[in-house]
Amino acid sequence: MTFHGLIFYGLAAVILGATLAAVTRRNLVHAVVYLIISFFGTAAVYYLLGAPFLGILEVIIYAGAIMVLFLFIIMMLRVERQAEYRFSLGQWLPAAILGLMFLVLVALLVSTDPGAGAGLTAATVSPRVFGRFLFQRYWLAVEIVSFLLLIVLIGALVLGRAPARRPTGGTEGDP
Amino acid sequence: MNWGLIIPELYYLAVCGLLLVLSMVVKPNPRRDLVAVVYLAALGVVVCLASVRMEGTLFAAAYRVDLFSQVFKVLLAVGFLLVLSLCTELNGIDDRLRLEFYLLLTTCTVAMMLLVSSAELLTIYVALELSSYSLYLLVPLRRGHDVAVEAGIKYLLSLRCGPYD
Amino acid sequence: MIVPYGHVLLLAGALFALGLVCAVARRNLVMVLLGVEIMLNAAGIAFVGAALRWQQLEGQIFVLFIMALAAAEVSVGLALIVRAYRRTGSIDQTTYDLLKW
Repeated sequence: MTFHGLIFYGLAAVILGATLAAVTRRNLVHAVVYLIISFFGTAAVYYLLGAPFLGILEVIIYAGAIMVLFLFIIMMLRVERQAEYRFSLGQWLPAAILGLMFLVLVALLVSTDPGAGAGLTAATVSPRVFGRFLFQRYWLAVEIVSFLLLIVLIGALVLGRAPARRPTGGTEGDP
Repeated sequence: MNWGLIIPELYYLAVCGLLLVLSMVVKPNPRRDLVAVVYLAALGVVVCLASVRMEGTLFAAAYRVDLFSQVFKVLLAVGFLLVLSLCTELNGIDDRLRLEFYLLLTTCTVAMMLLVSSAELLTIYVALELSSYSLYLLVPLRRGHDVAVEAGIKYLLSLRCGPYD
Repeated sequence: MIVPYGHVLLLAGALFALGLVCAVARRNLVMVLLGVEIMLNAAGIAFVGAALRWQQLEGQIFVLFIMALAAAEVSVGLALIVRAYRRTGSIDQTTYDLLKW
C-alpha cells in the first residue's frame, strides 16, 4: 500500500462519511454543509487521480456555486421550519434495501472483472493540455453547452418571476 | 470548414436568436407572432429540403452530415411546422410568454437536429440534454394551474434520476 | 500505482448508492435534488478513474461537461421548487397529489 493509496483511502472515508451524514440530516442547511465537505474530498481525489484542473473546477463550480445556490434557496424559502420530523421506517427501509442491493451488485461486478485489478499509474494533466484537447476535439460540444446554459438562464428567469398581482393572468407583474 | 453543411442548424439558430431578441423588445401580439413563426418554420422546411443531398464531416469528425441525418432533419422541420400550426390557441400561457414558448420549441428542434448528425458520444449526450432541458422548461410555463408546476417538477426529477444517472 | 482501478469504481458505486437513497427516500424536494447532485458527482469520480486507467483524456472532458450540466439542472430544479413553494406553500412531496388518481 503506497502513500498515495493511503491518501486515497483516507479521502474515500471522508467522502463517504460526509455524504452519509448529509443524507441523514433533518436540517437542510446541515445537509448542504456536509455535502460541501464531501465535494472538497472529491476535489482532492480528482487531484490525486491526475486531474488538478478538474479538482479546482469542482471546488469552484460544485462546492462554490451549486451548493451556495442551494443555501440561498433554502434560506430564502425559510424551509428549515419544514424539516421532516420523523423518518418513518416505511420511508427508509425500501430505499435502504435498494441501495444495499445496488452496492452488493457493484461490488460483485467489480470483483469479478479481470480488468479491475489493474493499478492506476500516477499521471497528471496540465490545464494547458486539457484546454487544448477540449477545444480541438470537442469544440461543438462546448458550443452546445453554452447554448444550453443560455436557455436555462432564460427558463430560470421566466419560471422564477414573482407571480402577477392580478390573478387573471395579469399583464404588468413585476419580476 | 464547410459552413454550407450546417445551414439547417444555422438557420434555426438564427430563428432562436431572433425570437430571443423579439421576446425582450416587442409588444406581444399573439396572432402576428404565430403567423410570423409559422412562416419562419415553413422557410426552415424549405432550407432543410434544399440541403438534403449534402455530405461531409465537420468539427474533427464529431459531426457527420449524410443522407440519413438530412432526411431526419427534414422530418424534424416538418414536425416543428405542424406543432406550431397547432398552437393557435394556447390556454393559460401569458401573451408575454408566447415568444419564449416558441423559442423553447425552436431550441428543442435545433438540439434534435444536432443530435441526429453527431457522431461522438459526448456531442450526442449534450444535444440530448439540450432538447430535454428545453422541454423541462416548457412544461411549467402555464400559469394559473397548479398541475403545471407539479408536472414540471415530477418530469424534471423523474427523468433526471432515470436514464441519465 | 495508486490504487487498483476496482477500488475507485467501488467508491463511485457506494457514493451513487448513497445519492440514490437520498433521492428516493427523502420527502423534501431540495433533498431529492441533493441526491441527484451526489449521483452526478459519483459518476464524475468513475470517469476520472477511468481516464487514469486507460490514460485517455476523454474521461476528464466528460466530467467537465457533467459539471456544467449539473449546474444547469440545479438552476432549473430550484427555480421550479421556488415556483411550487410560492404556489402551494410547502415543498413536501406528499402534498403534491394533483396528478394522482
